[in-house]
Amino acid sequence: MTQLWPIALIGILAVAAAGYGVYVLVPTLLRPRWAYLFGAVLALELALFVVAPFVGWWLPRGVSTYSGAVDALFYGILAVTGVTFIGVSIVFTIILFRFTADPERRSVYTHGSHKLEMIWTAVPAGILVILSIVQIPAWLKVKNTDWLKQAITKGRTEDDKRFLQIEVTARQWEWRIRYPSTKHYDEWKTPKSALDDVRLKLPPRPDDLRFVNEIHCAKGQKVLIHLKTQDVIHSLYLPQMRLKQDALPGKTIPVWFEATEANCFKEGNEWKTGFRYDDAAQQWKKDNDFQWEFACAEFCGARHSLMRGKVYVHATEEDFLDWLKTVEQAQGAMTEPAPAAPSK
Amino acid sequence: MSESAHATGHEHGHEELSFLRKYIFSEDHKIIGIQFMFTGLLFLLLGGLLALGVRLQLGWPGAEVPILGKMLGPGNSGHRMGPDTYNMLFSMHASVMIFFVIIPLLTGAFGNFLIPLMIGAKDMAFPKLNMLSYWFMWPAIVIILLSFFVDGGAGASGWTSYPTISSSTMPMGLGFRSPAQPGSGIGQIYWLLSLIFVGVSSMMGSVNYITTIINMRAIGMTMFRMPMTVWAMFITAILQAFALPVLTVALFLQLFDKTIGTTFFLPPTGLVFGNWTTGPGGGQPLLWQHLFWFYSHPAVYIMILPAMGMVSDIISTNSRKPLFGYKPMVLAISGIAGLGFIVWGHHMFQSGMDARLGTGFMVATIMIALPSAVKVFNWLGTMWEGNIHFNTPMLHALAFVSMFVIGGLSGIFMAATPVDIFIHDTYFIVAHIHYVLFMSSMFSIFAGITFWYPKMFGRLMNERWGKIHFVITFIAANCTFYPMHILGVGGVPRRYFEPTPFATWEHLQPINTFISISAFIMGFSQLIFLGNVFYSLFWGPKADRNPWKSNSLEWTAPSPPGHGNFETPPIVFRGPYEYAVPGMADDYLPQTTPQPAGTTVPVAH
Amino acid sequence: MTLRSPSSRWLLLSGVLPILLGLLALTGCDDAYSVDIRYPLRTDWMIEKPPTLQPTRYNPPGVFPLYVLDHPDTTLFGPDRDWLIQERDEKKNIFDPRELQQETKELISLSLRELSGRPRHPKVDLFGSKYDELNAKLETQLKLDRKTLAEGAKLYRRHCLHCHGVAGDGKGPTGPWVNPPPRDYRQGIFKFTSSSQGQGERKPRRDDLQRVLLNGIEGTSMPSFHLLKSEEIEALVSYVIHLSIRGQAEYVTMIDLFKEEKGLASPTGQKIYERVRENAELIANQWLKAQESEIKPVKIPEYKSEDERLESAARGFRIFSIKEQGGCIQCHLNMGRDAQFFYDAWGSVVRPRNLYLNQFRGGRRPIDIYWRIHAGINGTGMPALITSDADLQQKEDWIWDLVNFVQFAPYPDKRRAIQEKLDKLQENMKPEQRVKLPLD
Repeated sequence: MTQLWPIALIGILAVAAAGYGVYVLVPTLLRPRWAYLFGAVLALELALFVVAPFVGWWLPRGVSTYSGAVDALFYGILAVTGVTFIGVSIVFTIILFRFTADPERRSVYTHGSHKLEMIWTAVPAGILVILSIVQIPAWLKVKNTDWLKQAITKGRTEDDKRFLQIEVTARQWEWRIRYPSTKHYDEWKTPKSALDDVRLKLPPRPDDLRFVNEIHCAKGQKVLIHLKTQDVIHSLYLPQMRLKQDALPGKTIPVWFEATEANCFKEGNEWKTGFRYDDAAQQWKKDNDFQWEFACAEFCGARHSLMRGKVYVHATEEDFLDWLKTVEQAQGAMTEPAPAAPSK
Repeated sequence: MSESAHATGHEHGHEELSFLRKYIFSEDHKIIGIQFMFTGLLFLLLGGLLALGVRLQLGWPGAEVPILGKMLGPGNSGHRMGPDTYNMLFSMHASVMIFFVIIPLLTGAFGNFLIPLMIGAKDMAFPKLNMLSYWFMWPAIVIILLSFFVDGGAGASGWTSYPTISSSTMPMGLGFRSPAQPGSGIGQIYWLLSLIFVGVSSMMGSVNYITTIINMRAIGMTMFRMPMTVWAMFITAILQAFALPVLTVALFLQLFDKTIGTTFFLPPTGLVFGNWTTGPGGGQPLLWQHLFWFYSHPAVYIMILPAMGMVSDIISTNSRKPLFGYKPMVLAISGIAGLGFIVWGHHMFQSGMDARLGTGFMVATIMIALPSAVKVFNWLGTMWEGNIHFNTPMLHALAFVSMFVIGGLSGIFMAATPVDIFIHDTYFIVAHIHYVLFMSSMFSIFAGITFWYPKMFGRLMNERWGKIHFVITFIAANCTFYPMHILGVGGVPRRYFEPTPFATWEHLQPINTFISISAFIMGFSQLIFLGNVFYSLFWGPKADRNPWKSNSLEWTAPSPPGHGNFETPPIVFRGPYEYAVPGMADDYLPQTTPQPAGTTVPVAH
Repeated sequence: MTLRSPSSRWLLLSGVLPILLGLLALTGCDDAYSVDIRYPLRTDWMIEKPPTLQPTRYNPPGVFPLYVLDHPDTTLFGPDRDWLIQERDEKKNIFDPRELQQETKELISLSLRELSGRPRHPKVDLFGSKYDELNAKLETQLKLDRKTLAEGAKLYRRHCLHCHGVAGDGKGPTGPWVNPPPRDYRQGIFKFTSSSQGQGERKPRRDDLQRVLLNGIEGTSMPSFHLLKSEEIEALVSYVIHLSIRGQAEYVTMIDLFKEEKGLASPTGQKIYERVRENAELIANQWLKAQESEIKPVKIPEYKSEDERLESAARGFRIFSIKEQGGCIQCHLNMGRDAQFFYDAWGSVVRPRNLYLNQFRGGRRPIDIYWRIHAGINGTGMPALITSDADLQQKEDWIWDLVNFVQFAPYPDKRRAIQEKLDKLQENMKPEQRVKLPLD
């Protein structure tokens, strides 16, 4: 609400200018220089896309192992479409400027040019074919859980690290997340135990830890999410991880990510998120770009826009285990006050 | 309007038709086209109001709504629009705009009015079927309007109506209400019924168009001498004929799921909505997505191809220059339509389909950009070295060309599956949709109405107000829909009642407010256009046969044409784009004019 | 610019109109309730005691069960309709506040406004110098000061209103479309409490309400709000308490007056505003007492291995099944899978929990389950196991055994383990004394 006044001011000025233009300058403007109108609008639109990244209206920070590939593809397509847009818009504006009706001049009588048609079919076709080939590696990087396949066949991930498995059940209107107990997480040191759980889609155990709307993991740790839903189609969407997967009723769909940066640390008894570790200063600094969230991206009813979750990436596996232990203690509380409940 | 209606000296000597048979239950394609047009414009108002309701919430979330607050948010909701109301608003906005505005206007109004006139026929091949196709819209209209007043409100699952939020219903015997959300009860059933009627209406129309175009062309009117409008309508009709049955089937399946207890979309594990549980089913929610998108992807081409056809004609006429690359244009339209049948999976990239299947759909989708790009280049080629007359229809057509470029280019981002992971179901998609539907199709509708208005009603629309409407709409629409690209790049999801609780997107909220203000300006400026349409009906300057000095056959008929359209059956000598023919005084040469001396206009075309 | 004809001036207007209306859209940017919204006086059926008859089904989406009382022709409820109407007419424990005299209603409304203000400016203010001390305690101990309540009202309007309604009646626009229905605060009953007061006067502690907000309620539409800041949660808890105090004062006063007007009780002649204040005083004191009456377990067993917990669970199952001990199985038929329907204190349809479902609405920590068993679940048929100090001495072990059983019951492999322990435990008992655990 506090940011409304500059927009309102600009809005009122723009409207006043438009009004002035329409009612006073229209007779003059009707002498066609329509090129100005079209050109101005197209130029402003281009300007918006150019300016947007610099005022923070752009992609959220990408922090997963495949966000780089996705973003690179995005920029590549942006470049191609940007050049096309600029080119077409310039030609378009020139046409409007130069070829206004003139009684002295006759249009050039032509039904087309075979050569031009060939060129402007072949060149875009080539560009599009290249685009479609270029994106396959990125797609495979996200979808083709090679590391998981390898883990299942060879019994180890390629870097021999333990991966975290959690079950995320979406329901109207929140995310219920089930973590393994610290004991069970320990058992995953033995690959067979982890892989059995992958195959059986993480069967429920009495000592599982259940949490709502928060995903915790460690930096550099692969997280395999068994995604389910109880009622309608939801979609797990982690913008900073560039992850999105629809949850279908009746199915458990595996989806994974690995975070490359950490964003939380323990202060006292709580974990705070939205912080970046400054290596130079050796301390955690507050940074809004490090508030990582997840949301529902498939319409699911009244509170679809309120299924907000937070992602906590711990700096080390020990820190993550520390958190897991805290949750375990809180959830095993046999009296109150319980040990401090984890992070808000 | 009626004075020239009987100017023709036709011989069939049937008795004078009653007012009811002449203007209400008419079998005359022109009247039916005009009926579709007015119905479509009426629903444009409704769809627009629904959209303004959506923008009201998005621009000022949580705020109390001025004046309308007590109606939108009665007593027990703090004078604030509730999320269920919001969901209904955006769902019905899309449904109304797609099925009751754009498709009836483009295929029903322009298809009906123009096809026989442009190919030199007296009427459609099946006039009675034509009349039925209009009147089948009325049950759809009544049902969809009634759906706003039933318990739970109108359908609220988006125009895509994915199960299981749309299809969940209580076990048999406990009524039609849905445990998923209020609007998925009786409102959703009405939505399904209404769309079934719309589908039947369109299928009837498409059969008519295909038959008419193939069988009833005038002498000399070969397929490759037809105007692009007719080609576009022809291919669109083929799209409709093949795709609509699939949608109709899907609608029936969901209808049965909701009424007689079938489980086409209910998975074997059943669903749990708190205490309400549905039993186990034998189906799969994903089935709906496949069936629905198999129709709805060709549907988006149904909504753009007629627009492209009309714009080609308008640009050529107003540039006083032949269409650049007629055959490539025809091939491009066919290519878009053909490819359009094999890309439906790109709406479902994130649904959990196998990655290899996704790759297949991705390749086909990316290739669709090619024929569209070819068309844009051809339009530019048409205007290059032409003589551009900036009248209102031409302005709208120019807006179409430039805005379609933006819409098409944004589509390439979505075709790339990894990028689609991020922008699927965000405002980037909403921006793309509105660039191709409002900024392209709707501008072409404005262009078409203004261009063919004199032929329909014998009067011209007011130029000055037409241009004022164009300027305000063009600027306001760009201010409304372009910033949505930015929201989408930021990752703001769509169909969100309240985007503000998220730290990731909080800072983008002022953009939403700006969009809402622009949307209000744009929405209300359409009243200028509607005012112009109605004012000119009675007080517009009278038009002669060919006010735009265009070549195609409809401009040789009186304005408006009478029963039977043409005074004498037309004979066609050439294609419709012979402008600026060297050696002629006039800069245009209509299709039915015999070859003037001293010219060498290609005859076989 | 010349205009063509008189009628084209209308077109001029349609040019100015868009810009003006666009500017109009800039209005209305406040987050708080509008000034003209008042807490509505209650007009829906009031239940004094839960209906005794058993319903046959849940209500369908969109209508509450008591809908039948206003729509006697409805077919949506099957046979429940006739029985509910019969219950109201014969047992006279469901009252219609609309039948009160107009003057009475106006006086109640005014008194409540004095007590609780209006949504934009809420307060809990027992007017009169003799209540000064109570008012001060409410502000400090229950955080019911005006500033907190105003904050809470704004947050409530954004997050809670559309289900729980302006007055906390659970009848917001979304309310009838979810099952279980949103809590109606106006009877002053809350299910998941940890306070040891008696059944009729038990109130939740602030901690209990906070826990519900932080964790949500599993298996219902109540989501978790733990992503809000802690000050916001505090404000919301205060606001809910405020709504509950107002609602219960209204409820008690209306029932008393209704009975007097209909001749079911003899008139006391007390002025309405006095009644409201006295009722509010009573309720406020109950809330204050609850904050100090936390149920704390006396003995906290330690289990050295899961085996010991399984043995405890086996004992727990025996307590569960044997009528003279816990006797839980009488309501939780077939472990709750065949449980019957009942009406709860709010007139909604409920069933005893299916213990194999692995769903714990009030929380799944051992202490949460302990509280449910110890004190029962307010407003429903779940009785308290402990009703006196002597009870506590004898039966606390039972509670922990039951807790362990309930926690292991949803897992098939653990059930088999429990059955094994049971077999050992029951080795020397007579066959008719043995109990068997359904394994599937």
